[in-house]
Amino acid sequence: MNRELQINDDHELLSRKDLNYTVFDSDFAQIRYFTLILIQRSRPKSDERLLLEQQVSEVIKNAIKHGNNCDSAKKVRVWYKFTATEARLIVEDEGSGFADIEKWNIFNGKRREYIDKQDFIGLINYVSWRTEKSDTYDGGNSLFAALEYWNCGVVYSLKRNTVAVGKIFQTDFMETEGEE
Amino acid sequence: MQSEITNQNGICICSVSGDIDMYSAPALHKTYLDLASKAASQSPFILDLEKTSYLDSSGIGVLVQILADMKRRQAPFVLCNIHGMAEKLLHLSHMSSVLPIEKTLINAITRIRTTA
Repeated sequence: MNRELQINDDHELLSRKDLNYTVFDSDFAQIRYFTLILIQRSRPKSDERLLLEQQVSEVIKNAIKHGNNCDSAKKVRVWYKFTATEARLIVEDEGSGFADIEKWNIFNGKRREYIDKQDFIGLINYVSWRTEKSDTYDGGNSLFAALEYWNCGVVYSLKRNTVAVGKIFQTDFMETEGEE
Repeated sequence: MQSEITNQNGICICSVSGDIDMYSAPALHKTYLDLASKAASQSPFILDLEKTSYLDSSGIGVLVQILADMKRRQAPFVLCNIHGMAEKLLHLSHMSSVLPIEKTLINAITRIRTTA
């Protein structure tokens, strides 16, 4: 599993082929509703479904809040596919892109060193990634869990305003009613 | 999200019902700040998440802020009854190694009593 955020326009996760497509407004109040629309046809076991919902909503939230700054004139474009064995999601915003990917990877690398050493005292200094734009309620930690959850990777486009994530489910995780 | 506050022999217990997400996290933070402003600086605090089935990064952010404030005040702080998706998320993000977590409320109270 890749432990870093990747930047690669040619990565297979950024391929839109065979994915469903939709567009959302940059409406912060509707992020969880948008998420439920995306995952409505997947029916994983309850805890796993909530985790999937949470992980998808974090990607949508980052696009609406940090990418588009909740600007109602800007859209979020989403390509997605959820099956019994796989979850795919590509989210594109109209912002200037995630400029600090390299800094984030360095921060997370240090964080992982403390985790690998089981040094949880030192880890306390690396529980939240914060920037000048972070507000009080930015967890600053959604990408830490994302790298663990999306086991096919977290990949940004060269413009850094598009992120693709993918997951292969290890177990009999989902029941599926069918693709759209 | 709703919070029920009880006091058990000097330990403030906040039982949360409902999701702790990007919409409700500010309310939980405000509840904590209101309690902290009224309590003695080293009063113990337990956050009981038995009735919480959904947590997101904003919720984790508030838990970290509470932890940091309680450490600054050198006051005992324990989370308890974390289960299901919330437990999985804390594990994924390795926050279960950082946050003081007990399985049950009784264990949380015992932890505070034995470390006091």
